[in-house]
Amino acid sequence: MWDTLIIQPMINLLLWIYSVVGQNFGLAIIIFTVLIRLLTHPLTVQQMKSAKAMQDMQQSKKWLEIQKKYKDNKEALAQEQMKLYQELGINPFGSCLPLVIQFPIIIGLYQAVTRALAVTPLQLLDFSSHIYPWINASNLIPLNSKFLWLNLSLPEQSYGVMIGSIGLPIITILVVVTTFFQSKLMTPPPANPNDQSAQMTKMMNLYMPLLMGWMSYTLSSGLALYFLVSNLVGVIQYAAMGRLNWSNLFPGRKPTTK
Amino acid sequence: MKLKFFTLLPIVLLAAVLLSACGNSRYYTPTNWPGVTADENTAYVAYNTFVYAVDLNTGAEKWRFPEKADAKMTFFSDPVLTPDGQLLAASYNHFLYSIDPVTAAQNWVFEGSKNRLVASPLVTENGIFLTSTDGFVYALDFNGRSVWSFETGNAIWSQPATDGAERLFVSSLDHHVYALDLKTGQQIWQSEDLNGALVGAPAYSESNDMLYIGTFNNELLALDASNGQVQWRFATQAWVWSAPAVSDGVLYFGDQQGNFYAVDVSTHAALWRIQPQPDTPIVTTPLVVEDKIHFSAATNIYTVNDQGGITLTQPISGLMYASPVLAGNLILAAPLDNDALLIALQQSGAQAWNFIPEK
Repeated sequence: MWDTLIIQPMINLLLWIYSVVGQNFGLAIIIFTVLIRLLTHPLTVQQMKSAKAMQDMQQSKKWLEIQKKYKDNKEALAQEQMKLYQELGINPFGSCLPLVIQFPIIIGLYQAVTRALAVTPLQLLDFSSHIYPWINASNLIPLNSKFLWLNLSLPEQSYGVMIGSIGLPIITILVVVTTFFQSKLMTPPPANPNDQSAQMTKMMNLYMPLLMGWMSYTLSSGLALYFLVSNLVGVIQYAAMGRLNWSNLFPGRKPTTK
Repeated sequence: MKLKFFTLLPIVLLAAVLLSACGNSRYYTPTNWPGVTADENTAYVAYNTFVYAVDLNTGAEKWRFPEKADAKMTFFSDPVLTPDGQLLAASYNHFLYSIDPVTAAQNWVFEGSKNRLVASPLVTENGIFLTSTDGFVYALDFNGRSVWSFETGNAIWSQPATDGAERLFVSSLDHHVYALDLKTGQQIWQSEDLNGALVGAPAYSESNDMLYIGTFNNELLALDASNGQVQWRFATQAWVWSAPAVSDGVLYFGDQQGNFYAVDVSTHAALWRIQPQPDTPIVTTPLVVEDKIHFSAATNIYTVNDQGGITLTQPISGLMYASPVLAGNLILAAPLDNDALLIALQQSGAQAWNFIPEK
């Protein structure tokens, strides 16, 4: 079911793009990632709108008064919160739902790229079983995994660009930096910088770049390329809607309140 | 702040573990089906982190190499025995290991390859010929020292073939077959682009100095071994993964849709074609023993006679992608996704023993 509905269409789309762009798998990954992010753009917009509405509510006078009034009665606070949601027409799951829908697509994208980079007969056998008959794959396989200085089927740790005697994992560094900036720029300003969720967000903004960096360094560099492009497209999407929160990067700057 | 740091750390670690778990599946880490070879008394099985030596009489483990698993050091191709008593095991960590087949002691390691070793090395009187996914063919002496190397245009997943005296034939994923001088590594010829990846090895026929090779362009090709010219083509229903078995002027091979063919080399026509289980890939070379042909497909080993009649269907629990191997009177099967790494069958199909490695 997962393979048929998600993986197979994605693999074939990826292959088709690869054949159209002159058998350049790096370019195919970039176009494929941008395309999928564009297709899921309406969901991203909806998620951002819901998150913004929720954030506005949390900063509203009314909500702050309710919090004050029911600070010792959590049950009553929850009931009042639900009432306020209804009053303002906010769906509390409005910002989660688009994210939940996007999640399998993002996972599918990751899996499609990984499977297309088959490096053993068993992996190729699996990959080939997902190719639609109308795609003439016999001429496409093996996919050309060379892109710029990268061998997309190998982890960058095995061939990092050498500067003198030091191997620099450039794509890994780019993934770490873009993940950090993406997290910073796309996180809305917290209603209360000292509350638990704001602290959690702060820690996640620190851990995520490291986690993504480790994955980029150890998994195939084709995936690292996907992470990098995905980060950049995410930032561009937010920028296009004027939602980048520069105050997280430059603390002196006023938070975005659009 | 410190408290938050330590509460969030397990969550991130959990996420990392979950992501690693995804990475450990067969689709995300380099893995393959097991490789098997055998001498008179012992079967050698390469699978994942070990090469096992298994007693052919009892199915008991004699030794494993290395003693302790190292996740980076994985083995999947058929181990190879040399005439001077070494066992060669190619690893996905790019290294070729020479092991003492009696004691499991390591003799030497060849570290010259820059990428995974998917194929088994070929051993002749002239030395060891190793192909690599870095696109190179490496010729080594029996002490693991490099003699020459030759670069093709893409990864090589198959063992080379030889005429036994002068030439080495190498098929590459770059769609070309190369003939090299066995002693110097000089290119003798390079075939035209064969319009599809060459995953399997070429099969050499001494009687007519021909090479037979399957391609991903749904063809089996006959090449003149003296100049690499395509002499004739046989169209198949699907991709051909492995070298055909050549026996008495007949080529036996399968394709990815589960078709199994017998092709007459003199008429270039199919004598017969069977499809015991549609859409179940046949990816390895069949085993021909006298007038019986054994091949594996999906969860079965089939025995057919030279008229294409199935005389025995031996169900195997697990996926049978590895070629069946003849060891004395036994046929060895190495299934994937089965607790038993090796199953020994009598010629009648009865199971003699199975080998389940201890954890």
